[in-house]
Amino acid sequence: MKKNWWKILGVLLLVYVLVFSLIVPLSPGIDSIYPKSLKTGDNTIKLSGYNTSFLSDKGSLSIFVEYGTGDSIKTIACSNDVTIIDNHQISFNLKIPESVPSSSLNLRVSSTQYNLFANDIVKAFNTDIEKKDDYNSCSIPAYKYEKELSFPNRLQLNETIRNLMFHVPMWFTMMLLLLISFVYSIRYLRGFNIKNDIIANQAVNAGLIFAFLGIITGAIWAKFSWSEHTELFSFSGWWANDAKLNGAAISTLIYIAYRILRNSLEDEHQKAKISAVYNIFAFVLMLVFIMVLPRVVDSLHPGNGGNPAFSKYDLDSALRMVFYPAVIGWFLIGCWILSIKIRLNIVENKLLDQD
Amino acid sequence: MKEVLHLIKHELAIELKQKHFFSSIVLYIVSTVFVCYLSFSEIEKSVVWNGLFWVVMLFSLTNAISKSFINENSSKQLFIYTLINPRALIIGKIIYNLLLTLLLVLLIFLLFNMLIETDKKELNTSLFLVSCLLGGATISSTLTMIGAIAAKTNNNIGILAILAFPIVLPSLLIALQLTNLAFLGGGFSQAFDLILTLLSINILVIALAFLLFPYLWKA
Repeated sequence: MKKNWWKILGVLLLVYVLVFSLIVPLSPGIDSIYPKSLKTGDNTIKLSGYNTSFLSDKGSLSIFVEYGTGDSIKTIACSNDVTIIDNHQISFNLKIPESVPSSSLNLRVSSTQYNLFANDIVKAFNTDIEKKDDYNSCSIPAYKYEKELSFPNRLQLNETIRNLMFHVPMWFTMMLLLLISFVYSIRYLRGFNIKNDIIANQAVNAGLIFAFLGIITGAIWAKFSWSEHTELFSFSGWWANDAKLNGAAISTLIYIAYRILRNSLEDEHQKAKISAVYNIFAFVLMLVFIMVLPRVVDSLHPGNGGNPAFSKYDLDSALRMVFYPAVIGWFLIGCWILSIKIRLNIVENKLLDQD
Repeated sequence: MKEVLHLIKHELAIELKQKHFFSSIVLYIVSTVFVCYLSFSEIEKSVVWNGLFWVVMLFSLTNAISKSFINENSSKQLFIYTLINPRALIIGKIIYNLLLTLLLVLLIFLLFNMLIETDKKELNTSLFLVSCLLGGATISSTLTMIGAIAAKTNNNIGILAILAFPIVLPSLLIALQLTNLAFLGGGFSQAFDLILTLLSINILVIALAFLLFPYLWKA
């Protein structure tokens, strides 16, 4: 029992992750805005929110149109005159001045309970950089910030953000297992101990399981957040031309090739030696590939090609609270699968020797 | 060093003795390009031309280099190679294959330019050639090392493709990017980063081959 504490820990962590990743609600956010851009003069805008409760905010809602980031946020228009239709829908009027100092405007819905943002809602404007007046003439609601436990609601991602706990740790675990395989291949070549070869081989097998799971979870995620074809029974949308996806596909191919190489060799020691050489060669070049590829092909993933990384502001405390245990949990499960596979292989070899 | 030179000479001598091997590769290239000529003939987009060019390059090089370890199983060769340091052997093979590759790259380049028309108004020919040669060199050294691995199995050409294509891809993509840049009229200063990356991948591949080949040799 004492020896198996890490397996129990792994299972407990994954149960925790499964429960929390599914029951923690998404924080309120803006689902859609109509019309999608503002024009000079009067605008009547309809806004629908997600997980919002506008009815309970009656009288405290204000709308701001702002530009700038951090401390230098300036307001160019605002409105206190909000018509609440139901919990998820409001409409309001905004008067936009003739010239504004920036072409990148953000809309903010503010109440006592939350701030909802819709970034970059602008188009066709006379921008006048010199003009830096603050048009703020609205009452600002007293902001009682009592954050409940919730996942961030990001445009495009929405509810699919929960997949973070399953998709990303798959790749981490795969890389860990492949790293183990790489290390044991080197150890095999140093002493020609067949046990090291068994570990290297089974680590690749276990890594491939996680690679396939990573591809499946990734395909589902891509379909529902990047693609326009969200209907379930259609072939398009499961894959995107993206640096990380291609890298994942290539590394999976490399290790399937490794399996085929092993299967096509007969002699045990020759098999071990040659596959160890291929493993080392392939792993190093795969790392190069993963580093080089994003420079050659743009990526849709956070942190690449101008997309903000999760860690910047998105991986907030609620996500972290589930994400880190998820990574550790999947690591432990990966190692457990590996240890079972190694033991099975050793027993198999013994049985073969007896025959 | 002497061993390496001697090996290259030896390879060349074999090559000149068995002319059918080189001519078969040349014929392979000519017929592949001809197939492309008949099926594509005039390509408006240089990007498509470029992609086709590298696909033909990859397949021709795979075909040419798969032969480099095919004779290794005969007992006479084994005898010769017991006298030689395996590291000298792999370096000799890589250098020999580089020379072969340079020739084949130039051949493919000429044939492609003659047969398949595309928009070449802004093409920077010197950058294009340099990136072709560098890309070809990287692909060929990777293929040589994988060829040595594949030669140990029974089904060696099939397995060479399976093992090598995913590994060769990064260099292929960078080379593709470089030639695309050449088509847009880019100069060496813009391409410097990519050229450096390609060169360092090539050096890495050769260093890995140098380290790992002796283990293959003993197997």
